[in-house]
Amino acid sequence: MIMLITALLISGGASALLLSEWSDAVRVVQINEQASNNKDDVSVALAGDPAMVAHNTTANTITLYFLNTGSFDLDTSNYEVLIDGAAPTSSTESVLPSGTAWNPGDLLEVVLTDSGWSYSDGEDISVYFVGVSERINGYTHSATASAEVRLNAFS
Amino acid sequence: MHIGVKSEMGASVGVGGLVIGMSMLVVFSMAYQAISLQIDSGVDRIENADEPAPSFAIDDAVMFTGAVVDVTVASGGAGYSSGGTIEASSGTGGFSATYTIDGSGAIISVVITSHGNYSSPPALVVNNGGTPTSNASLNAVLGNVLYANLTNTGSTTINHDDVWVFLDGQNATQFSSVYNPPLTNLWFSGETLFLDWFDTGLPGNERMAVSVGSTTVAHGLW
Repeated sequence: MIMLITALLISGGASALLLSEWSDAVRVVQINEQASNNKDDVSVALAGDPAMVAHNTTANTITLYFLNTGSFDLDTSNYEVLIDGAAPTSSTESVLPSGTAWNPGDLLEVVLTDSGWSYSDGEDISVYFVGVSERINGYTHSATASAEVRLNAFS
Repeated sequence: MHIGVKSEMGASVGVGGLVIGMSMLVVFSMAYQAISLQIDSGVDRIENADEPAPSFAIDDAVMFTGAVVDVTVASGGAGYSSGGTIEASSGTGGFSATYTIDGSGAIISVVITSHGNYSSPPALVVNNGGTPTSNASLNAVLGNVLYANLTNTGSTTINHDDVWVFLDGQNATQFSSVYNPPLTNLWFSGETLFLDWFDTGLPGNERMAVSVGSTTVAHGLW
């Protein structure tokens, strides 16, 4: 009888401990899985006419549009655009149609400036964008977009 | 003695059975949690992959840079009857409009029904407007008109707010701000929308591009 009760207590305790640990492990996996799913919902795409990207040769600016194609807000203060692999000297951005939060479906108009550019009308350039989402359940996720576009130069 | 051995064996078997049973319950519980997690994760991914990318086409697009986009009423005149039309006094530009009158028969507002296309503002006349006692003075304002037919060729329904229009790659404009839907704000599969976008100055006249999500389609303006 003593052996039976002892065995039951030991195996019951071990089972409870094992189940608790397993639940914790499953919960951690679930959180990571959710984060992974959220990452799938963070995306951005180049919008606008890729064959006519505005290039003001007087102001040395290139204007690009990026569309938030995901399900979460993106950070407008934490992004980088590379033109032919190089970062421009400065950039300004505004959210369209209005506001400051880059919500899903909203455009980010980015005006890049670099006095060192010597692009001609009709020249093709490579655009690379990388940005991050606002914090989602404690995580931030990156979104990238890249494309070859043609410049429409004007002065 | 013999009975004592049997009793001990029975107890051992009983304890062993209980331990094995509990172990199986634990394993079953762990397996259940793991399977639940896998199912939740799988369902999430299936739901995420459920929505296909939008697909659409610009069937045609043309811009007239000498279109009548507004008519100002310098003087409404008097004695007009309703039901007449306002047209250009000469030429084949194609302008046409209707008007409303007040109690004295003065023209108070004009609704353009065909913008036409002109190299300079045409003189306007009122046709079939009765016998006015004083002629109205109407001035045409020229601008740009973009006509385009867009068809949703995909299987998804697109909200007009999700559609962005670009002219010559510039001035991103939300479709819903330049298109007046008859009843709804939705663009259904197979539906063709006729865009009649006019202004005193549109930001481009070479190419039109439309972006929805990661899909962009462009068309020359001719």
